[in-house]
Amino acid sequence: MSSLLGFVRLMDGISEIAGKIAAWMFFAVGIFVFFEVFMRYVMNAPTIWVDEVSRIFQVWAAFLSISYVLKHRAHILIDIAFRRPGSPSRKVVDTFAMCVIVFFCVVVVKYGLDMWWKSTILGHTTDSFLAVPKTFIQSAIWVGFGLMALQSIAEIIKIWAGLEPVEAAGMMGH
Amino acid sequence: METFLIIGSLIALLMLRVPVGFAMGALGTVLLAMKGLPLVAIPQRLFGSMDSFELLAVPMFLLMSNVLLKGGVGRDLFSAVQAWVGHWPGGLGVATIMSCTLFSAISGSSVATAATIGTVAIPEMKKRGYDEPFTLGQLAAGGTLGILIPPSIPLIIYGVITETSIPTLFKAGIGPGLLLATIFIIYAMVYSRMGAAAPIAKADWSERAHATFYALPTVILAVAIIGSIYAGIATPSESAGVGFVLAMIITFAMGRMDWAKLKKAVEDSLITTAMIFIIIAGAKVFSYAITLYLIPQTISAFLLANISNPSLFILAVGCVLLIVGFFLESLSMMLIMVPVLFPALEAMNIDPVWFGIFFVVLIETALITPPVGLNLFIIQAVGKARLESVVKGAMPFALMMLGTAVLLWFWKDLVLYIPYHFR
Repeated sequence: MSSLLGFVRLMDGISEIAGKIAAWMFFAVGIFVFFEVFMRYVMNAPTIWVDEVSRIFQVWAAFLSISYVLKHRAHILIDIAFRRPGSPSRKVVDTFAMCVIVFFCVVVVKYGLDMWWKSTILGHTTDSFLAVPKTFIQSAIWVGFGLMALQSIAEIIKIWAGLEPVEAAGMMGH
Repeated sequence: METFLIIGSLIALLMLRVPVGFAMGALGTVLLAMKGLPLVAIPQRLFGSMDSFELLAVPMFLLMSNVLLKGGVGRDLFSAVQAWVGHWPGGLGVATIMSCTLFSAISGSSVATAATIGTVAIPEMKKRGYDEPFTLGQLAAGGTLGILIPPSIPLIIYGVITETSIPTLFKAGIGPGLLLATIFIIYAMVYSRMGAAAPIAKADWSERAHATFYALPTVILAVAIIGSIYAGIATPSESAGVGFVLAMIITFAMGRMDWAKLKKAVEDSLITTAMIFIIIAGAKVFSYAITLYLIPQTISAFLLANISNPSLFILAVGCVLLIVGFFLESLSMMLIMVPVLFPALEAMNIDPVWFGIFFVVLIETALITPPVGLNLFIIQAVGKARLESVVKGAMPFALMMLGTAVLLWFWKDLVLYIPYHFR
């Protein structure tokens, strides 16, 4: 039991760090974009890297953040049925939902690794001036979804160990 | 038959509390596997969905509005508008809608708009004796202007998934957005004439100058962002990124920002961005799978065979979206329904820009109709009120929005005049 709880704590910690990194990656992108517009209009010297680096950051930040959002239970779901927290039916339904997530993540990790491995051994790069090796970019998929699978398992443990999931940190929807 | 099974499975997964993005992703995976298609398409689609500079506008606009929110801009805007129109009949109600309209021009999110203005306006309106359902309903509805008046996150996403020009969509949102704001303002004035709170004292010129001075940076920022997009100086993503940095500079310069607030703003923005992005990613896998099953084509063919008249088609779509909107969160609604309906638009000769705006007006309605209406929940939390009270107050506004959706069909120029005449 204690090793299970250790796993939960470990995953919570990793997801939290992944989320913080992702958050500041978007912050950095904001600075890059500002820099690009400044260079273009004020210095008359547009950059060649902002567009691509921003997209790479976005890909990484997007996939790194999914397990963080699960830890904060902030993924959007349809809250109509099984609304009573802690009820046995809710526990079963929540466990089922986590299993669906694990299933999807495992498929994504498996084929994401295939895709990544192929690009890595063939030394594929992006078709841009920077020619960034795809191995750095495509790894975001299996890393992000791998973390998500592990975090979902941690959430299943939390459900049955009676640990309350952390409330949504910020409900700032769209 | 296949179509019904697939729709049924999606509904079942959603009812069983599977997060929307994962329900779509997992179902898409199963569908691909059943046809024996290569599953490596899944990581490819997921990757492709995020590898987009256009989409970057979403986190950038969220960062900007979160920084402004934490910098207390809501209060500045509300005080300034109140100093000018507070003495009108229903003055605070009018000021609330005007503040929402102004904030909409820097925020692409209806929930952020409702929360920002609601935090300031609700206590003020209650103090002045405005009745609770009206106050709460007005804020829930006023907040939805955030996604119609540009910038708008749903319009960015609509533009990305349908490959429609985002600046054109933004321009198209202005007319209907201002019309709705005007309707809400008139309603507030008429409602208060029928025996609500007394107007407040007229502010003198020094008070007005003082309040306006503090709101000015935000207003200038809004004008600069929208202006730079329309003038073609910057793409929406670039404008948003610049707006975010300027918002930081402004709030720091005004002494309203510190490290702790900035950190909170950055982290809150991530959560919202990530909730949106995972749905986009899942929807990409799902829409790829259902396209291979010819579902959108089947539905389009069915609609075209049975409904030959575009008016009836839009009526049918409107009714479906209204019903779906009772249950589905707004963005999921767009990401599930648009790929299915889009092929039929061309055959029906319906302008995709017009349809985008029509869709967003219906999304706005969905945001304030129970049982699932995000703005209702936000205002309930911000106003510390009972949900029934918010729902009761929001009802007249939902009807006004539906009326506007109908009006859009008969007066298409309300949407299309600005984008096609001011290039």
